[in-house]
Amino acid sequence: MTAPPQIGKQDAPILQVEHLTKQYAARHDLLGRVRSRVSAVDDVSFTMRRGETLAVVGESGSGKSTLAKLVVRLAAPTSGRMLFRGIDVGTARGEASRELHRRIQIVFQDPYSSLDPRQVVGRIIAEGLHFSGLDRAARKRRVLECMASVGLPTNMVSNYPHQLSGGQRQRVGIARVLAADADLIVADEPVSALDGSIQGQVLNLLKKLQAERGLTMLFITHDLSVARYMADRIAVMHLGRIVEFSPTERLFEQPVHPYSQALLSAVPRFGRGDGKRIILSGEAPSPIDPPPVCRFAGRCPWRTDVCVSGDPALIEEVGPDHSVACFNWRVIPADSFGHQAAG
Amino acid sequence: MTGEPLPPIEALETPTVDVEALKTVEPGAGGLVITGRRRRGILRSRSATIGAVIVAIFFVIGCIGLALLTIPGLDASWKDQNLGGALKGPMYDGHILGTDSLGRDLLARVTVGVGVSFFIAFVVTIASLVLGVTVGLIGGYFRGPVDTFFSAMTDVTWGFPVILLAVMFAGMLEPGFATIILAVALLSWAGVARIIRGYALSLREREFVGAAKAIGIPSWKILLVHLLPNVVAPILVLASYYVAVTIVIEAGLSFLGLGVQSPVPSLGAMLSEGRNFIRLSPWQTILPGAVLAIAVLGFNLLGDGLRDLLDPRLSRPQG
Amino acid sequence: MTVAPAIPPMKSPSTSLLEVRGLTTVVEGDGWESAAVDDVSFSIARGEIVGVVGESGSGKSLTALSILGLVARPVSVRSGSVRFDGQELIGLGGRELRRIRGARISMIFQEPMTSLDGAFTIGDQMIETVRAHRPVNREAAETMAVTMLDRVGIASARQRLRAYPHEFSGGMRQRVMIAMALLLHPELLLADEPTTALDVTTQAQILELIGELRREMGLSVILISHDLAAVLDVADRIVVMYAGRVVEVATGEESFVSPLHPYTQGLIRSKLSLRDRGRPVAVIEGQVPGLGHRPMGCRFATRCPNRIDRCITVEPALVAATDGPRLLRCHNPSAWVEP
Repeated sequence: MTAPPQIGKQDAPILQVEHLTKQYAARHDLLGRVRSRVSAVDDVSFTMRRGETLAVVGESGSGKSTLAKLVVRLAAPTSGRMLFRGIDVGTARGEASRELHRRIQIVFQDPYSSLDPRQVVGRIIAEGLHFSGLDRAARKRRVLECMASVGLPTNMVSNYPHQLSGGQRQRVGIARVLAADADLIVADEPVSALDGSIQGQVLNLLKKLQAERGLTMLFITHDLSVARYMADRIAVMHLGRIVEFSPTERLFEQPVHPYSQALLSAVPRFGRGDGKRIILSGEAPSPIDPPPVCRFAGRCPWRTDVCVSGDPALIEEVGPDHSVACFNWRVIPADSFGHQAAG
Repeated sequence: MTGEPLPPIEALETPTVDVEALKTVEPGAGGLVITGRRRRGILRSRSATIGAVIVAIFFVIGCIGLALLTIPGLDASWKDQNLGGALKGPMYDGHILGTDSLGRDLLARVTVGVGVSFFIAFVVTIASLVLGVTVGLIGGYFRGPVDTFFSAMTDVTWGFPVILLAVMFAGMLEPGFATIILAVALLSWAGVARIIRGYALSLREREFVGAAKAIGIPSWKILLVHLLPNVVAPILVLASYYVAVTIVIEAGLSFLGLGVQSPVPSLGAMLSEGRNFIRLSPWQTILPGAVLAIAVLGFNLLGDGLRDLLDPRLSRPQG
Repeated sequence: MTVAPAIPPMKSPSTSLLEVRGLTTVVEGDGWESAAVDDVSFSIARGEIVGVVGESGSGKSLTALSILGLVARPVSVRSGSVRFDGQELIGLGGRELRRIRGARISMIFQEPMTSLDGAFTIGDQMIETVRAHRPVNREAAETMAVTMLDRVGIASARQRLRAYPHEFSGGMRQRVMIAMALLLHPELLLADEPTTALDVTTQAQILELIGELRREMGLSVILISHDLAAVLDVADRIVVMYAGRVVEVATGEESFVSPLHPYTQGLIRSKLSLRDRGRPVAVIEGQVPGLGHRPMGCRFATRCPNRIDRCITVEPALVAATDGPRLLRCHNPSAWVEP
């Protein structure tokens, strides 16, 4: 496969996430004290290299969107820390904090909700220049440049969002990120609200910009075919945990975690009658106060006693740059698609 | 496989139907028909139009009324008594709308009354909006202890009886403009705050606010630049309802003698004066009552119409 | 001998359960009106699953709502005919329509919470549904509800009757929704994006379930979706819509193996090209034209790679394609080449 462009192995990591955890209060007692908690993101660690795309895939409730919010600091972690180019994001204050904000930007899923309906396109994009210190004329030039980079006609600068199509709105969202001159872009399901014929346009744009500007991208998606197209590496999340971390092609060729296998087999594929879907029985268990066992055990076709004796960590080295959180990965065949055909 | 060469790229743009140009083009193209039934702006809503006309008329009357009240020398028109010509019907001796129990000209008094009622209603509404929007936006946006405190304040205020507060103020100050404005404004902001807080709660979860936060825009700026403009529509609707409600409350308080004092008329005070003569001359009561009802109707229609107009679902689709 | 009537007689002899002919639904705006559904025709046989596929603005959901008589101003059905088991539905009174809806035709939506009332238990809602249409007592209605919940795969159905909608997860709620829709054994089910709000793993389960129920109950299903790939496996026939028009009708197999319309081809090519990370995704340039901005000729002309001059001035008709019973609306189709 094609190697990720211009990444030297010696490059220092751009983002290090260490034991990041985010808990929300799930229930309160009569006095308002927290009675139980949900761990939306639970002890997640990974490292991103400059210029790469890391896709985080999982079902709703897997914590992938919360992870995106934590990385752009729209939510504060309960514990753990993040280092952006070696700077601790959590303790940065003042000028350093503003600089971090500028460097880590987010593209949202819903192009209808992510643009202020009362502002014109030019002003929305210019918001990314808030800390740039540019004067009016320079800002205007920069806004028009960014619009050109994302393929928006510059005469749309004074249009309101409701006058734009979904694809154009998403381009405005991307232009705002470019204006801020971000290094790390968190893309939270950037195409899943778009029509099929528009999705490809936005994916191509993101890839082109990434190649041109050497951007690093954390790509959150539920769509495995999109993840496969965009990402160099993929993290599979399940109930707040990363259960498998792998280079993209490797994951598609030999997924190891049973949950990854199930996810991959559920992707609707053109070409009928292969009949090899793993239909998971039941749904993900409640994430409220989970017991200290493997959280996938309830739905896992390969469950053994060891699975309910402890909680597997993401430490099993399956191969180069490929790890999995599963006790039994050695006994699960990589092509278990065929073995677990739908009933 | 394509049989013929592609037309030049400009051809991509030309065949697209422009709504304006379509009248000269083949009808029915692209499934679009120009029906010609077209109204612009506020005229799109019938109730808003009627409401706006009523409000505009009353606004002019109110301004004249305030002029009569404040410009020295003009006060004779509504102050001068003539006990000989009291309680007359319309068209009596130059009094187009008749006279009251002291023989004062009812046309002038109603005009001034409208001015007084509107003045109080506008001041109260503006004060309630400023206070209510501030409290609502800040509480709803920041949540946490600030919100808890503001919400508690709002709830206490919400339940407080306006008459009790008016009596208290009337005792401490004295009945009049200030009493009424203070008493009503100090309570009615709570309703605004509740509604605006609801909007703020939902707006803060919108992704464009998240985008601004991610860029690092300070909170006060997000409030001013993103939240406030997005509650302008509900504020306008609220404002017209609040004017209507305040006119009624003012009438009620003046009726009880807690409002403006004789001889200055307000619609409520005139109702109160007319009450004693309702058998002898119902006209003296009916007139301010009817004016009050029409004014309130006007503002309510305007509010309803604005709510419909500002509903984005009714606006035109864009291509 | 008389000339054969153009319109088939009241009781259609064919096995077709629903016949939609020339359905046109307009949206009225300020000074204009536009056909959001423009002369749409298709039919569905008993026991058949038809997928209606299109992007936003294609008119697919309005087609479904028009069939059910559920449109309200500023949207209205302007012309056309919808025959259900020989009976014309367009212009039918609200009362008769309601009797058919729910009992013989039912509908499920993308977001189950919009059709389930959060204030009542699902048991209450199901029993009420049964008793609104059938003269049975509470116990009998409850038994029907339990049977159906059981059938759609809700474990310990009798206990779950006392649960409120919010106590179910997304996938389970959609199952409850399906159980409710099938409670009265309707002949036709309209499913509007039934899996869009669900996770991939759950999507597969729900589509599987719809397929099974069709086999067991002889149900006809109209499956509306924006995602061609999602309905391909389960639908017998696919109706592809674009900007208010039907542009292609083919079997599920044909739509994938040999799509004819450049739009269908573009959608499939774009999906398939995601496989190759080395190259840009194949895209359909431009965007779906909005209601007031549709081209005069073929509505896809502005985005079409096969465009010829005639496409800009003359809209092609929906006619039988050269091979078999497929329908196609295109002046200049090209053979499908898999990327």
